[in-house]
Amino acid sequence: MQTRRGFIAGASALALLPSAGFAQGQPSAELIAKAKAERQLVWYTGMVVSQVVRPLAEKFQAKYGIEVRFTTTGDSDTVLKITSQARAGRMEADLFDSPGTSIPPLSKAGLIEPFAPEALAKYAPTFKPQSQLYSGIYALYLTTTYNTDLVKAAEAPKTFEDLLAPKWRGKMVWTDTRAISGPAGFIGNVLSVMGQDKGMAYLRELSKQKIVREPGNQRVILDKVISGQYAIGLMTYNHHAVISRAKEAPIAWVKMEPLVANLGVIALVKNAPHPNAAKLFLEFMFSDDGQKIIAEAGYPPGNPDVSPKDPSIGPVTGGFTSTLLAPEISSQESEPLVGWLKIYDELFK
Amino acid sequence: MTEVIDAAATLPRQRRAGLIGSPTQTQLLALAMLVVIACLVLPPVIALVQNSLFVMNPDGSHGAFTLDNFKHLVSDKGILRSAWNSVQFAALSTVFSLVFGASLAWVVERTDAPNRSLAYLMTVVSLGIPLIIYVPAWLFLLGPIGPLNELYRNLTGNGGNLFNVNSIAGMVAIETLGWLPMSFLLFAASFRTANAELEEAARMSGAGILTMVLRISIPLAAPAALATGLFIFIKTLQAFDVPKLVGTSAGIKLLTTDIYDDIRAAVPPRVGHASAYSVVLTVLVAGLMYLYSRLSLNASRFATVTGKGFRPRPLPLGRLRWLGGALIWANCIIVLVLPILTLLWVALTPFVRPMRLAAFKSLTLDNFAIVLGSKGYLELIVNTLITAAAAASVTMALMVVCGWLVARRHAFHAVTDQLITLPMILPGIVLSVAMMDVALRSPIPLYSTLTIVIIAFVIHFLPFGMRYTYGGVLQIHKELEESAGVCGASPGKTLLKIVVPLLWPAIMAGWVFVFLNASRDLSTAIILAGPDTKTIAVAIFDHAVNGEFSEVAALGLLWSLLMSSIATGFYLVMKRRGSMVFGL
Repeated sequence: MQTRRGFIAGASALALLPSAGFAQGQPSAELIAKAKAERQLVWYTGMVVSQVVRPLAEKFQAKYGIEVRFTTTGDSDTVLKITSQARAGRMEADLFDSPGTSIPPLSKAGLIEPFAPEALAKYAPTFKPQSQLYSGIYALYLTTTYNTDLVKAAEAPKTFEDLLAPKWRGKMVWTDTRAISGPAGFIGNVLSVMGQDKGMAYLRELSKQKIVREPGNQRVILDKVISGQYAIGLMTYNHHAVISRAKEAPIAWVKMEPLVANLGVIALVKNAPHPNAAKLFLEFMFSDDGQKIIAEAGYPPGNPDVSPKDPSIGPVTGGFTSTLLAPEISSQESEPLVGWLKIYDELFK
Repeated sequence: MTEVIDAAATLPRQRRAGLIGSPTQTQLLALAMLVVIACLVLPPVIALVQNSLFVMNPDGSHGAFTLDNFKHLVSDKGILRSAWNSVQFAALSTVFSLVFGASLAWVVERTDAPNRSLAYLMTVVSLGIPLIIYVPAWLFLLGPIGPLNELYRNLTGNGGNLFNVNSIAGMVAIETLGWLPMSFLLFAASFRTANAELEEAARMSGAGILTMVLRISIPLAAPAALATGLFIFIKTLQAFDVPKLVGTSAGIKLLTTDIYDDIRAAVPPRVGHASAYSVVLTVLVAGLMYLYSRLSLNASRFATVTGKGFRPRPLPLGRLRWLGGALIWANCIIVLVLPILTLLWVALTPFVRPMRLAAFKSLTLDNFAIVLGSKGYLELIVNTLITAAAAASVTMALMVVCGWLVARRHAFHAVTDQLITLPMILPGIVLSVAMMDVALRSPIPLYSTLTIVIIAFVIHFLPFGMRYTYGGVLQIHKELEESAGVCGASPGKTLLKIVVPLLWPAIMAGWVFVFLNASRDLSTAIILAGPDTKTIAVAIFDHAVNGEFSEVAALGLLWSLLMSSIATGFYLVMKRRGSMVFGL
């Protein structure tokens, strides 16, 4: 069992080169036969349907003749649905994906079937935890963004210290979410980089900057920076900034190192009605073919042989360090997140 | 339950004589309705009480008894401040939506003001706009980078804002606009069926329009206004979306602000706090509800639809006609035109930006192309239409019977009325989770079917439907049904031939209201949707989570266009049929 500390991976964890040399193996004939006998699988997803979910489902069905039935849900709906189905002994779901948040409650309820797809062999270790409770699809990076109409590139904050400049007072915004991808993750990142004492001193200074809390996800926050309502966005995704920049939106992201890395993961449900079809689907999703679809949608894929559409957003190709906040520590009911949220409530609310 | 039966048996003789047809038949009907309503309403209400009193285990089952959820409610240091904010917010929103809704409805239904049909168009279209884009549209429009504050800065040259939308006033404004369509529809239905004789008599006796409104129109509308007002007050006391979305950045806290986090942000959702709040609220408002139910004791005072022929004639406003038209236009512009233009702006810009001349060059249809380019909409549209239409039809069918039984104080009226009121206090998520459990345990396969989504909507909208039919029945004088009874009609026949035709405007208004609200509901539909029962809410949620606001706005606009057209079409067809069949 890894310690909690281990899940706050060091600054260079994601920059590790994957262990090369594993040939891309085809799934075993036995798995394919069993999967085909099950004929279908059910996938609860929060990913973009038009760009990721449907293309993956259609390609998989074309290849194996197995139908992928999917529905869009958020993390809380996923947890509610799967726990209710388990209590009633009528499991409908085979797979669910998540930005990490639904992993702790469902693993606590004993409703995840450990599984590591063979296709993950060549991925970096962060994408395949020892517990095998989930498989990482991609890592997304949270950092500081600014409105280029309001802030010149030379004046934009580059380091955590820069955020303390008096000119940014009241002009910075972050989301009000209590998930690890919000202010609590920022706090965790600062504490793990600067240490407890220096980190707390920094956070106390930062709290005097009157950072505005806005409800909504990171995309909503970024839109408010783009519209000019705020000059600087904290804990916003760099790939969102790149997508908007391509449409000539006045937005840029800075490498405020280390960035915060957030894993998008997928997991197999315990007592899934179609376990083999689900496993075969995971093999397909993590194969080069599957990951190309992920890359095409604008996400930096976990597969080391598939490069992101825009190289700048990934740590290896973009040349930046990051702190991984893994799904294991994303539970709002246990440490370390509880402690970070307490700091957030005391200093920033 | 035996007590209730006894109570019915000891009704005064003259009241029993007022029952239509054979008393046993009506009583059987009342009993049947009571059972149906109890089966629908009690499971989620029991779940609510359980959630508030028992620990939730990781697997979702209930554990040990606890009062922590209630303690949590009062543990907040600033609770008095939050409570005061909540009451201010709810009271002001209620008063404003009543005043605007009633005045608009009166002008539309009672006078010869120009462009009256605009008000219905406004209502139907605005009810079709999903709240997930309606609230942000207003925040953008009234916000610091919105056109109004920009105009002010350009005119005055100073850097400040004309007003701050992130305030209690901003919350009240947005919440009021959300309730205005319902308030208008309720009052309009009531004004339409009410006999205008009294108003005409007042005018003939020389009363001015103002005197007539004050002495006749307002008192006549009082029962409808009180019922609607109480309803909106309770719903706004429970509201957490608008207070959270509007107040967070300004640090304004209401009693429900933290509940937003418990329900929307926590994984899994902590429904205990929200449930405890609902329980406390129920106890607090029980007194108000009792007062309100006493009101209908004197219901016949308000009955203006009698056996005498009635044909409401529009009141000529004369020189004030323009004022009526202006009121209609002002409502239409504020409730509909401004938010739609804002959303169009957002949907047509490649990224969210202030309304400036320089930005017009960048207008694009890309967001519409992205939304229309996705496949699989047909299935979602069909599913949504089936659920919304079925939910609206079942709700209104049940509530016609119940509204009549309760308004006429037939057997079990008190308990039926209370049961129908209960879903009002259910937070949406509690209802959805309870329905999920019901479906999973049911011997008939219900889980992941459209049926369970429809049942959940019916439960959720029962109190809304009741407001439409109950208010309507109160206005119809008993003498019509009594004559049907004397002629030997069964209660069923009386309902069908007398009550339904006279109630038709209220039934249609309620149907359209439930249909549009069910079709734009996000949370219930998402929790209960299975892979084969996805509705449009699922697609909107997908775009809201993964895409920019511009994309959500484009999809939401297209969706409300479709839904409003369908609702308007239905309304026109039913209105024509109604006037042919029932001579209205």
